[in-house]
Amino acid sequence: MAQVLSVPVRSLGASRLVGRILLAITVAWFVFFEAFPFAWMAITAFKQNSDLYNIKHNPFLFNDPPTLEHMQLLFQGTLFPRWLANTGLVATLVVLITLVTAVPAGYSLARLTGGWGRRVGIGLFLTYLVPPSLLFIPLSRLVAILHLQDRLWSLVLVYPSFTIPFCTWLLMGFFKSIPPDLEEAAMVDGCTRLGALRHVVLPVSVAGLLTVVIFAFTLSIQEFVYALTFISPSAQKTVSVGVPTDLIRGDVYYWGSLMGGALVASIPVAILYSLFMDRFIAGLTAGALK
Amino acid sequence: MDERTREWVEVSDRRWRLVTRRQLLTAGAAGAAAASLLPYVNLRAWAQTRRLTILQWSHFIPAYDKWFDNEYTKQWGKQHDVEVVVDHITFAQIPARAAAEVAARSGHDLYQHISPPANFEPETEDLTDIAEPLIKKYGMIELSRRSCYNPKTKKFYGLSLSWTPDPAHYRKDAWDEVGYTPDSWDNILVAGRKLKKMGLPIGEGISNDIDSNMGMRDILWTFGSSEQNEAHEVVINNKNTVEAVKYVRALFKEAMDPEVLAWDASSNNRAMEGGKISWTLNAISIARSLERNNPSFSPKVQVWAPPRGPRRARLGSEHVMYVYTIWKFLPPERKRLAKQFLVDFANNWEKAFYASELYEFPSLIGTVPPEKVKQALLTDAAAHREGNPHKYAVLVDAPKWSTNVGHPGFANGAVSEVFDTFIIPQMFALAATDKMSPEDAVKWAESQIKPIFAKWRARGLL
Repeated sequence: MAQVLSVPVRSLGASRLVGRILLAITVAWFVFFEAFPFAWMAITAFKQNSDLYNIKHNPFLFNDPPTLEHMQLLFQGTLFPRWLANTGLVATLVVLITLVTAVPAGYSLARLTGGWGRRVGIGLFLTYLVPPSLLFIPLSRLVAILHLQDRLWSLVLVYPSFTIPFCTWLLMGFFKSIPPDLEEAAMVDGCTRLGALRHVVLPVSVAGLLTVVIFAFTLSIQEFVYALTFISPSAQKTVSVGVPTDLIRGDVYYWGSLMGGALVASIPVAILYSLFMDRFIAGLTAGALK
Repeated sequence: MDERTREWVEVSDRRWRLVTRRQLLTAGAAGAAAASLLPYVNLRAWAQTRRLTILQWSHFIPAYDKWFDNEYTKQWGKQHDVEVVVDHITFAQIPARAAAEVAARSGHDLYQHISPPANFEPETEDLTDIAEPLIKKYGMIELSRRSCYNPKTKKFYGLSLSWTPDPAHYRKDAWDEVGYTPDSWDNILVAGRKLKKMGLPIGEGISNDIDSNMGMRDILWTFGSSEQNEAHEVVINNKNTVEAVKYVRALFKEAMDPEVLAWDASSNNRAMEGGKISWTLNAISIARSLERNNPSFSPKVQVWAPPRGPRRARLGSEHVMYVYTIWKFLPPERKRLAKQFLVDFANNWEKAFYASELYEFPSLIGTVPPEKVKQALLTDAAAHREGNPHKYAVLVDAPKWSTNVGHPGFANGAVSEVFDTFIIPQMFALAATDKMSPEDAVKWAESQIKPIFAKWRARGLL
């Protein structure tokens, strides 16, 4: 007769408690690690320079009274609101172009191309790995030929070159995770392929689409090399170029305003991620697994 | 067909209209007449004025950019019926943006570099026609001339109107405590050992950044060596260079913090302003920042000349060499306008001197005569507020103890490439970190520099 190992109830409870404490410590560490940059930016944005540079002062406290002068410089001494608007416009347009292009491309590669689809998908993804530092010079020639220099449209044209490959590859994986039976059932009922995509596939692909939106948006707002190369008038700049250009003067960094700019620019992205966190993770993992 | 006979004419997509032949012929003639006038109606002309575009760095003094962008260029533009557009860029991005404009064959009419742009010489307009008359009128200090003129091609590939000296900043209170002045590299090492023990090490970068390029060259020159000689031959591999490398190794180990290996252009500013170092080489941006941000701490930081070396009197690199270039590929009218602006700006450069709060010094001597420069330095308001009217007095002789990148020769494409690839700081870093012996580090540097010089010589530019 098999011996039943009996574990005292008290031990079970203790080990659960230890497990929870360890989990809490791990989570707390990661929360601190992730939140620390934002906390640092927020503190520095309102700290006086004499407080910031004094190494005897606690860097996490306001040892001198906080100040609004850095934010005043940011919003009134630079074109920061204009840069935010430019960045938002470019990012929105790039997201739309990416969606319009990557969705049919990803669907086609997932459904219509058989074994070649996977190879093409990988090839597409590899183009994403080509760094902008290699491409900015030939692309600047193209932008000049198209008379788009110093215009935001140059960025709207170029940014999809790195958002579309990655998002197509991502959506390809995501569409593969959707059973083809759903579309086949729709087509049996009279839908065209396009109709099946629109009425059946897309509604169940919201997680993947949101992932594409968030990724394309984030990549667009953080891009620097192309924005620096193609645009020089201050009023046409995006945040990623305008902030360092106006707030890094020679070897002098306006840290308070720089941190303020970084903080304000990251707020919309943080909100976007928070609102769609679950779906974003679902989209990422579904695409990655396939 | 008589006038009353009509035909169906398609007037637009799927829209037809009954017209007579006369109506048809009249409409056709009117359209042809309108089309023939189009070449004479330059739709851009009445909306377009002449335009001059300038790209410059974001000046360390924000007020300078406000003055240049909103006052000087606007006034000049009004006088000449030209719309002047000034764009700004961080100094670190100047070479990359220039390369992009060259590749695109499209860019700004005037491009301001902050180090000698000799490597762009094939793409820049020859400015001898404006440079020589200006030099004849005002005179030019030699270090500026050697930073924008190629004696091989006899071409002014740019025009320098100003430059910035690279003095030392030091913690006078700490140096007084150890009983030294930072007047020689020997003093820097001896006092540096004591200062490091006090928690105030020497702060001279040995990294891939512009300050390290300047500082390490100061040491090289004052130890009696250089990367090239006056004939632009590579001469770096010699016993004086080895001695300089040994010195820097000792300085790094005994008087500095290892973080100097990872410094960027702003690191020494932050370290001095944060009270972490006792000496560094830098333009007066450190002193000016302290005057603004930390007036109680500012009097402790004073300005001094670059140190003397064992084989040469004090010699410091220029910290910034402003050189305007005009791209060759621009249309003739734009080049002409750009040259006109440069000449007018040179003739009015005294305004820029004061707008820069003494950060920029004149390349064309007569644009701000030496006595005026001296007076400005000795009557500086901020220095007087601190009770030290002679704070910037050491800069009066800056043209005497400053020299160009490429000393004792001219700046050239090869020197620019050596500069941009940070070979000199890397040479010192390899020995300082014991990755190589001083002798091997110097040989390594020579092996890197020689092919670069050979390449530029083969191009006929050296």
